[in-house]
Amino acid sequence: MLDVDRIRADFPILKRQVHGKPLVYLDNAATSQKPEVVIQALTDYYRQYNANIHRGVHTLAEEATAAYENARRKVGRFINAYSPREVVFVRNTTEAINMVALTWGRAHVREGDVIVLSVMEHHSNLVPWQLLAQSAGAQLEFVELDPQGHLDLEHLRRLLDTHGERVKLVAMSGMSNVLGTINPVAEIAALAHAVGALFLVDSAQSVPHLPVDVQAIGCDFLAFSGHKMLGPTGIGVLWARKEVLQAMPPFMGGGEMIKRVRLRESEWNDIPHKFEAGTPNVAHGIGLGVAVDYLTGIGMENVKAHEQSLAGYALERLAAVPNLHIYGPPCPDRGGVITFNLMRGGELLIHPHDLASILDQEGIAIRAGHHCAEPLMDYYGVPATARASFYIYNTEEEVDRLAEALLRAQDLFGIS
Amino acid sequence: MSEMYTERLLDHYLHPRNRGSLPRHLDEGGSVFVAEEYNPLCGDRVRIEFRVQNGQVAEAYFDGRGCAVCLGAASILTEVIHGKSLDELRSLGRSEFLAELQSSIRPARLKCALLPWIAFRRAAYGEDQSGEE
Ligand SMILES: Cc1ncc(COP(=O)(O)O)c(C=O)c1O
Repeated sequence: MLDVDRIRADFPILKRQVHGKPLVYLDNAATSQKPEVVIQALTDYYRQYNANIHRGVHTLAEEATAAYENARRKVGRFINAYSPREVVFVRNTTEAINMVALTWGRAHVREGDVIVLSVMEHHSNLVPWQLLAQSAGAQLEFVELDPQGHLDLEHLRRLLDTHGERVKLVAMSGMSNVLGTINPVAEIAALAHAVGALFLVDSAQSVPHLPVDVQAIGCDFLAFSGHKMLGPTGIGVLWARKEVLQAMPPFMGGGEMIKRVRLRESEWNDIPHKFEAGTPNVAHGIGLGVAVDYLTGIGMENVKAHEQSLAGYALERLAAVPNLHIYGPPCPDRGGVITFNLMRGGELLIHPHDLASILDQEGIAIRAGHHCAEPLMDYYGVPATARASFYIYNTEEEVDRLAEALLRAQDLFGIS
Repeated sequence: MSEMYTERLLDHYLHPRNRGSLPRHLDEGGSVFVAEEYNPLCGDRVRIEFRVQNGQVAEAYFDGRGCAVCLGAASILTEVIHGKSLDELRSLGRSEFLAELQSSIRPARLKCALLPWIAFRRAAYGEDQSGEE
């Protein structure tokens, strides 16, 4: 188990008060807080070896290049990549998925082809495929959910049977940012490959919170964001199998992504540089490497166990709050995401935005809204939901404070 | 004032005034103004309708679905505009309306609070204030 007190001491922001109350930060699915070592890594870079990378021959450039490429190796090891060259640094999950849609997608998806998604996807694993499908004349299919909020794998099998080799890609989240459902990605990879499709995992929620091993999953693409895993904003990762990346056309043109440039044509650089045009986010790439070290030090099995135990505690504790409706599957099929509404007879008793504002007055940060998953809100027939999401520094006492605040919110609104 | 859920706002939310639609079965005369606004971020939807007779707002109603801030503000709006002329109400700008709420609306919730006012401005003057926040 985690030494949560020691972990909390590593996060300066957790000492903050909000409206005179100690901060209870339960919006980790949106973005995580950062430990001192990550914050320090950014200032160290700017204070001691700030330089542009790859092109310089002076000492600072050498140091910066080594640190950036070392971060790439750390990230590669963290997800068990076959090679660090499969790790492409991008801005975030959204950019990673768009890159796949705009390069691999444009090259391989044709009229009449099919892309299989699910109804629980985040907009960033939906809209890029809508754009691709519209321009290519391809078709989108959506796996539905079972009543508990698991992916309906039987439905996936039927879709793959029906469309067979016309399915070019299956793209699904490793863990839902709304329901917390942990999806059986290895099983989905096998099903996708059986019809010759590639499989992309939107790992924005899974890489930060679960052990992820791309070789064990057998996926072809994996996308995630540094800012949700203790790292800085503006740095994320597209991982893809080497053969897939090598065959993929470049994304943006410019410096660094080329090997030889002539006036009318150019030769592309090797992967991953082929996909990293221009000066990258050097500082934050290095910061992500430090975040990965921090998580590795704790152990991702321990991270998962801590969050699942908190989720289990929250499900039990919140069951005692009247009128609380929780979405998503039971433990252990969910990670540390609890999405809920205060409802009676199918009607919202308190709008989630009001709930989030009232909780904020108590120093508790939760999320309210559609969580960039509007189709999922439509699926459940609600305009919005409230969400508490955990990380390594959250405690059972914080869940208690959430539960108590939910009772007080109902008092304030005169709900009996 | 630092409270958002003040007594006034909550009272209007929990005990809404003028919720519903203008009675249409009577031909009361005057002119009817209607507009509906939607906030895709949180799914708030509010409709404001009012009848102007002899130069004044004779009746005003709201209906909709949304959060307490939005619906409470809509209820307050119907009271604020009642009995005033559209000329007078031109000076009911964004900050004047927010002042009427007597609640300190946090920045992230301004859109909720202003939605009924945006509907009113559209209905009364054909203005598009939806880009305002
Ligand atoms: C499942 C999922 N996919 C994609 C994203 C998008 O991440 P980003 O905004 O960092 O690109 C998020 C984050 O909100 C997410 O939870």
